[in-house]
Amino acid sequence: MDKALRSNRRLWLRYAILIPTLLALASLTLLARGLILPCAVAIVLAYLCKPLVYILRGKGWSAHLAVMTVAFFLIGSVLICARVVIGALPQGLDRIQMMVRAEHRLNAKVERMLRLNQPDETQAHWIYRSFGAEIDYAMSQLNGWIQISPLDQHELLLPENKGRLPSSEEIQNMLQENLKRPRWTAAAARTPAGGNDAELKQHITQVLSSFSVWLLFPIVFFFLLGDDGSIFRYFMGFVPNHYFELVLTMLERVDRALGHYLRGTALECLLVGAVIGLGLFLFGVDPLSAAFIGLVSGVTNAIPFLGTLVGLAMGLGYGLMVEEIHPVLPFLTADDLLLGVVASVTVAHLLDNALFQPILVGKAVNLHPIVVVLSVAVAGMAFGLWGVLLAIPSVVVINTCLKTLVSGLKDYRLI
Amino acid sequence: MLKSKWIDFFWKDLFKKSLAKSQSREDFLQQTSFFQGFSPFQVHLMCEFLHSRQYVSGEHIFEVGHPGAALYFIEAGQVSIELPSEKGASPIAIALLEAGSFFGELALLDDAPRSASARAVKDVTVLALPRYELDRMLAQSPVLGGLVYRSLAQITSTRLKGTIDRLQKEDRTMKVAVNG
Repeated sequence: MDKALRSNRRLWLRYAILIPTLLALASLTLLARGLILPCAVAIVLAYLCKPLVYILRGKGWSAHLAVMTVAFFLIGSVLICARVVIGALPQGLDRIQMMVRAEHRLNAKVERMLRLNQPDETQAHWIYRSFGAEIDYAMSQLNGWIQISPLDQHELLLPENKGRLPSSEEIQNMLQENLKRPRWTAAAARTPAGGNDAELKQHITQVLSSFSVWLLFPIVFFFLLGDDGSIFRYFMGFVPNHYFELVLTMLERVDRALGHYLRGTALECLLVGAVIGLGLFLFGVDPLSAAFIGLVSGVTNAIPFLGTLVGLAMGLGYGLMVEEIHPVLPFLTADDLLLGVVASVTVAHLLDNALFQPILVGKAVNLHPIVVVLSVAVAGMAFGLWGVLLAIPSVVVINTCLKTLVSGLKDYRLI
Repeated sequence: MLKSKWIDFFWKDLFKKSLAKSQSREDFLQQTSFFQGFSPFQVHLMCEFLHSRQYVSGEHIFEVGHPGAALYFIEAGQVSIELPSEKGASPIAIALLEAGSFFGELALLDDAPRSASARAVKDVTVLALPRYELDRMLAQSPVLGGLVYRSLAQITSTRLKGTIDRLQKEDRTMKVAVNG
């Protein structure tokens, strides 16, 4: 009787501790939800860099030296990439020139393709006759994005700027033509920076607030990268004896699945980017632009379906703006480029689905497309861009945990 | 060295055990047959991969049929290795292991279910070497990982030889009995 009473009391005590602890944890998580994302990014990055630390330690390097070297190379590569990208972006008048040129070419090419430069609108392409309103809306939006601000327009049209830059007269003529084109007036013309003080202050406050939250990122990253397994052993100490091996098995499988997913996805992204880049190059896109579009499509391919869409959008944008091409196949013309972009992206997408994904990523991430789309959408709504990036790895972890847990609980005859 | 001291100042008490405890653990490991041929430094490195667990008398460390995930070294106490018997009857004890012994080594070689159960006869402290940690060891310290696998191979071959000898002996006894 006494034994049963004690056992009953112990059970009540467990619940009395467990429920407030869970509630406290949930409210703490809610309060500090802004910290979840920097921590998650730091954990994923530390997980990705950990094998490099192991390799260096395997070669006899001390733990601190290995961590410092990996961190140094990581920070160095990020800084170099940022410098290259920022350096490659046109600045000042160059940027204004590029945007005027892009707007001019885009509008002229679309007008020519849809036969809108005819005096009679009834002679327009059947696509425009059917979807004229939608095309006008999309083009107005597009013009809104690439149109330069009235202040920049004024500066560019100043007579003293004539002849200051090479081809500045041509650019001024293009701008005049752009301004005369009434069909697709910018839906949202840019306001010059600093035009709205309240908006600027709000923007600065937002940036500073997110910066303070992201201060946690390097701390978490360095401690996880330098950890020798102490954190893992510490938390394993809380696992009840009965579930010790079950939890170990689960962690081992999650680690294997996540490693498989990350390595497979990295290779898959590389191949998709290479196929898109090569395809665009064959159809006449200049090698640098083809490599850039391939690189961006490859990187964004980590988010299912996004790489293909980005590749298509960038390729079509390039195809609409470019005036002359130098294709490897001599019979291709600039008008074939749009078709070439669609063909290259389609081939890359088909190869990805039929070959790269099944071979490289395999069944480790056998997720239903609806699960993929929904999880990316929900994570994007909750955490923005980082949420979109981390959605699929998180689903892989949860999926593997659940599968292992169910099979483990069956093995342990608990369910 | 100075940097290491600073890191330890903030870090060591948070997750690491005290130095004296880890030293006594290293001494204990050095004496077990599994670590014969390991240098003191290698044994010190091993401690980074071991998990200490306590079991009360009568508690199962693992049960037959459960998925295996770790090798255990008995630091203190006694462990009985048992096979299940007929329904209702108590399990058959096939070995009684003392401090310094180890068991469950096959789990490091594959993730097949356990072929026997291990139960604490007295209150037991064990050091577990999970397969997961052995994989990390192989990446981080390949020489140490190789030594562990060599020890495992030696133990498995010794036990296999023992089993063959016993089977041959039993076979001879059976033949003698049949031939009269």
